Amino acid sequence: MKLIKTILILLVICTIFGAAMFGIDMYTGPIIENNKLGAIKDRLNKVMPDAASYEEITDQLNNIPENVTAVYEETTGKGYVVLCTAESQYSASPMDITLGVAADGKICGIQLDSYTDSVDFRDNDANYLNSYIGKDSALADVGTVSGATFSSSAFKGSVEAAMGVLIENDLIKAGEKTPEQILTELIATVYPEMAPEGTLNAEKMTVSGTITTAYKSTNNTGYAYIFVGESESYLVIITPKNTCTVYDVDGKDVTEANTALVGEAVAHMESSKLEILNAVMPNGSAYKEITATLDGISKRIIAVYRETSGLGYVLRCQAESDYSSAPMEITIGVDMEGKICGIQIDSYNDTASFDFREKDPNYLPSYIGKDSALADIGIVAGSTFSSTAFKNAVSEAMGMLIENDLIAAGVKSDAQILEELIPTVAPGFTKLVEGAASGNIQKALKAENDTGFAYIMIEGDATYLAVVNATGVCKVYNVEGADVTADHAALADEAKAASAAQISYSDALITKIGNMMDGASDITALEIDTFNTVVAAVSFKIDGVNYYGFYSRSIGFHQMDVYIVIDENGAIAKIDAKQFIFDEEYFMSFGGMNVGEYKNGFVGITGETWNGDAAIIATATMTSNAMKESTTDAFASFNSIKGGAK
Amino acid sequence: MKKTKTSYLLRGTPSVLLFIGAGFVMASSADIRAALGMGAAVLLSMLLTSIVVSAIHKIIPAYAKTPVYLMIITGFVSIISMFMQAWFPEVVQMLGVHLAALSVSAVIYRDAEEIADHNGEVKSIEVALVTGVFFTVVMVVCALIREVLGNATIWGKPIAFLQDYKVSALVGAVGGYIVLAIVMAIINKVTGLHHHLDESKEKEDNC
Repeated sequence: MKLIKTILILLVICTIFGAAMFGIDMYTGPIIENNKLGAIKDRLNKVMPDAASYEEITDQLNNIPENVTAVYEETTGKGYVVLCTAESQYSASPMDITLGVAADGKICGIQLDSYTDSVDFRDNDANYLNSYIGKDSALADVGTVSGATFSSSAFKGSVEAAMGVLIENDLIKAGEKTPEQILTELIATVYPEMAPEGTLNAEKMTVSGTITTAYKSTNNTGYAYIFVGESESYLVIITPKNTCTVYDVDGKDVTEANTALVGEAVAHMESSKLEILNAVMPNGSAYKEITATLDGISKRIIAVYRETSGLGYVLRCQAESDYSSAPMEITIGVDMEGKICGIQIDSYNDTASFDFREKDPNYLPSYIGKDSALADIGIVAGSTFSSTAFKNAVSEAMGMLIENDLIAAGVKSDAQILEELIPTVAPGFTKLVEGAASGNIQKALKAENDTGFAYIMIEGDATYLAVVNATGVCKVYNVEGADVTADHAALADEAKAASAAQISYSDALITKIGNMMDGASDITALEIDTFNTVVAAVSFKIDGVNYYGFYSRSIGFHQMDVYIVIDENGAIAKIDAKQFIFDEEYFMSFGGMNVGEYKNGFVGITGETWNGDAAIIATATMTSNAMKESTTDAFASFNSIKGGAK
Repeated sequence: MKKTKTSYLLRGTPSVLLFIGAGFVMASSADIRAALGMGAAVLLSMLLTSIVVSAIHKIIPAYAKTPVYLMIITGFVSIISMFMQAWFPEVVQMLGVHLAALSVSAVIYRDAEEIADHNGEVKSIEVALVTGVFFTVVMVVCALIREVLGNATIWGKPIAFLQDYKVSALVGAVGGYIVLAIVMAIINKVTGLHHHLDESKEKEDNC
């Protein structure tokens, strides 16, 4: 009875409140909906400015993919606005896209609301978003952006999915794809090497004859030609091994019946190759490929040609820096005297903002006339990685010609040999910038990370290299790479005097050690005779036990400041850095880092057990490499203090 | 002075109430607008709950009081929430889940069970009003301190000369509890003294 009474009372209360809330909802419901819409209306109006109002219809639609977050219908029949997201493998978080589609099925507005990729395709192609306006679901002629292939592909895919939702729910009509579009998309199916993960890695070439569109791959996988006729259309694929296959719009192999198309495609390919080769070999006419006859061909060499009238050689090679999405393709012309007569970049796939051709338009021309010594060829500030990769590729290509006795080796000057010695004797001197020369100093170079100075010095008829580290220690080397400091004290003194501008980091390290290590006493600055990224070293005691502190200035994504304490037995006692991660959004899918755990991972490691693993930060390659370098250099400096071998 | 009149507020009860309502007080006192919104919601829910509970408490069996009172509180909180969403959506956004969490607030339930359940409508309304206003005042005082000193804004508008001196920790959880603790200590001091005086007066009266 009690239970029944309780249930009855609760039922009555439920009914009363339920009825009250139902009534109130009828009144407040529309107001609340309007409020929600008001918050998002600004975003919707950007792609459909003449809209009156919107109604959310997401829940009424079927088969909505995950990347479509909401669909709104303009209430006077103007069309629809779809909110969706796109994510590429390099995104830290999804891009937010707002897509306006008019009632006729054509895109009337498109906007990217948030973007966290490292490469913004809007920088590489300011008109890319505008290219979508007026297009139907076929998205004819809308491609991807060179240098931002992954993110622009993800963007395009998301737009296609958004329009797919509207088509599937009979809200708009599907656009018709042109035969050219169908065949272009067919490339990914019949020849996935040219379109890995569905993204076409190719550039368009100028066309002639009956060819509608011609693509040259940017990943050295061949060529694709599209022929669109009145009734039939075909795709011709030519691989690097010169195998040709013809496909119809259904993807069927129809090579045997279309040999004329093969002939035309091959002729165009040969002609475009000839154009590239002639661009770097003045007066060149015909070429013979000799790649297969040569020894020591690395995978970066695509092909080697001999100009048949004896003018020289043309090499096609690739260069890839650690941070490019695909290799650069380079063509180099070398005359019979072993000098570069022409050089060009055929495809550049690094980030557009790092293109060294933009930063220094004279960089490529500076190679003309140079022999394999590449005297006075440096790297481009602000494009260090890609210009270094470029220079190394050219050097390797010419080295291959020398190795096969096709050209004579260039003679490097003593100054050049000594300058090239710097990375060996002073590996911590990063990004050297030239300063003022004076006295016996022919060339003065300062490391941008403040790890020291390098001087090319003349004494009598001989040239020497003097390197001065951040603690003021100097070493002098001759062209053979031998340490001749003891015999050239005057040069060493002059080099030290010239390094007066070197910043001393000892005080900063002493202060840091005082903060890092409780009870540190007798903190004494030390001189070190290593020439790595360690700029200061101290010794100190805690409770009578000796420790050594090191301050390293390696370069990660930006300049790093790393502090490492090693105990008397050579084991890391503590490690710290001013900042471990710069610009978190740079890192794809960067999920954060437990700094305490990371630092603790170094504790106890010695020079013998150090293998670099503790330095790894997932997806943060540059910082990981910098931490690895700092730790390795700290151990090296510790060993030099203790007098042990590295 | 009778116990259930003005001395109710000063008889140590505010500290206890603040203690058990510290969660929503702290959560909504980072901004004056949120504090006023929460204060209004607390006041209205306590008022409406008190009216209904004091009207029907005699017909509700003892064993059924807890679920019935909770259902009444939840119903009124839901209704108030719907009205606030319609007319004050920014405040609802600031309050987040704490508005809905009023349904299980020990403060409102305590008010229903201890006061409205044992008194008539007039007294229940009086107590609910006093408690609701008290909470609102405390939340606004805390919000004033936290928003002005912690965020250098007032009513969401920046205070230019304080921008360089703001103590951001006051806006967070730790700072919020510190401010609330200070306010509670002041109230405790005041009510503790009055409570002591009340007790002395009672002893005199009873002698």
